[in-house]
Amino acid sequence: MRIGLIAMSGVRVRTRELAELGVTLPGFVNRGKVIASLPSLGLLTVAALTPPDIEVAYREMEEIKSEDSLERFDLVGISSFTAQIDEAYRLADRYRAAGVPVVLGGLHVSLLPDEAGQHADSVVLHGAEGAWPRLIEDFRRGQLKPRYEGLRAGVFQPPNYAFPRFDLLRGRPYNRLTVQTSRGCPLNCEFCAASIRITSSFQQKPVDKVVAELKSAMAVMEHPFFELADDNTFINKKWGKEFLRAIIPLRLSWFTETDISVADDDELLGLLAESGCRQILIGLESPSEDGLAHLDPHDWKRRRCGDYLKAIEKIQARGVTVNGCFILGLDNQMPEVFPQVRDFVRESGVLETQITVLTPFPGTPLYRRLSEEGRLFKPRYWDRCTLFDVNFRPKLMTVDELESGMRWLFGEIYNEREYARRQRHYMELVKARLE
Amino acid sequence: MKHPNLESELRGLLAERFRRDVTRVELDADLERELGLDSLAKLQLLAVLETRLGICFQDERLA
Repeated sequence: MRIGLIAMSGVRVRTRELAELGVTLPGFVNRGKVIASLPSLGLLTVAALTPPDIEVAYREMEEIKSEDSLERFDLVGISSFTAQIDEAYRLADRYRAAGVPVVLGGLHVSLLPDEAGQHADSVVLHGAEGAWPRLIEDFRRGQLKPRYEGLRAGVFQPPNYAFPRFDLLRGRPYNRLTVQTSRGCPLNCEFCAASIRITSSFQQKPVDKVVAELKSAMAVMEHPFFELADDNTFINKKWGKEFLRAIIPLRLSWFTETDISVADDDELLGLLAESGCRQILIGLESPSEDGLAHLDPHDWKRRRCGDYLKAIEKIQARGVTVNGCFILGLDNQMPEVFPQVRDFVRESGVLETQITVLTPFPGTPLYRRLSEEGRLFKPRYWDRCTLFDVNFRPKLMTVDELESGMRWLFGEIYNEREYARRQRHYMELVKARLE
Repeated sequence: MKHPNLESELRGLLAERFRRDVTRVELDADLERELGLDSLAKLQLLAVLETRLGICFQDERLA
């Protein structure tokens, strides 16, 4: 038996104008048109959950583009983000028309299983752990069910844990690899469409398992750059220090997402730098307290806003750069937010910055609220979930103000002069530590 | 200011700070392709060079 696992990695800027402005996510590897292109860790995990007597082929959507022929498989599994889900459905329809059963999974499918079920023989909800082995057994017996519910907890514990098949990436042209250390995030921001939506609580992988995965991935590629596929890596500082101490001997270069509280702990910051952490992405969201109101249930980000500048300086002084993320179009932001973000970026000296527009992804509390308030332009707009398209009516500014303000801000921030200024700021921090 | 030992100093710097084996690397080697230095490591290298050699690279050349 041969199973094809097809990934739809990467999200693309839809307009040439934005691409030319140099929009960058997360920033220092791929500037330009393709925002992010990482292998699908979810499908590598699915491959690991597949019995060894079954041949597994990992493919990217780009490799299947030809309309003339489809690579032959006995079963196809497709995973996709929201922005490319229609493309995934079209591919699923093609395979099914050719008589090949299709399974769909991933975040979007977990949140909208009825929609996905129209294009699949079966859908997998939540994690593949706890679902995929049962699905394969049923498929072998010719009794595939329309829906399998994976685990929402305990995914890193035996017997559920699966060691991702990094070996399937050998010889492929990625410049970054992903490893996951946790799922979920206790901050629970209203807009978040990450793994928190498929977990029942925050889950942390034991350090020894993460290290083993990193070593396995390092065997696939020379000088790999690692991106941790976490929502918030350093929620648990004790675990964080244990993890960082364990990876120092591996001599990695890596990136992750976390929150501003990493700056509270000097020991953690020292270990971050020593372990080869190149950059942390922090969701600052808005430059002032007003804009951050009611973003998370405990107003945690609003309360920490006053610490932003000092914390960024402290982190970058260690040599670890900050990618400061801002969301435009939040309910408490007025048009003044655009110059405020520009000024904050200049004052803070964050080496990289990521500017996106508020996006109500399906299944999020934000989507439900805006839908109830009648502020969504239409109920279904998945191809416009690019983080750069406006799909709702903002509260304190017009759609035109939001769109033109975003373009203006891109021009102000993503240009060579400003980038050189941020680089110089960072170099001076590095030099200050040398002296 | 002259730096007669610039080459050996550079090799030492790359080995010490960036943990790279530079014994067989040519002088015109590509830092990114051959040594695996990312853009951030290159910035750090420039910062160290400015400090050690007492020079200052033009900001316009950084981007």
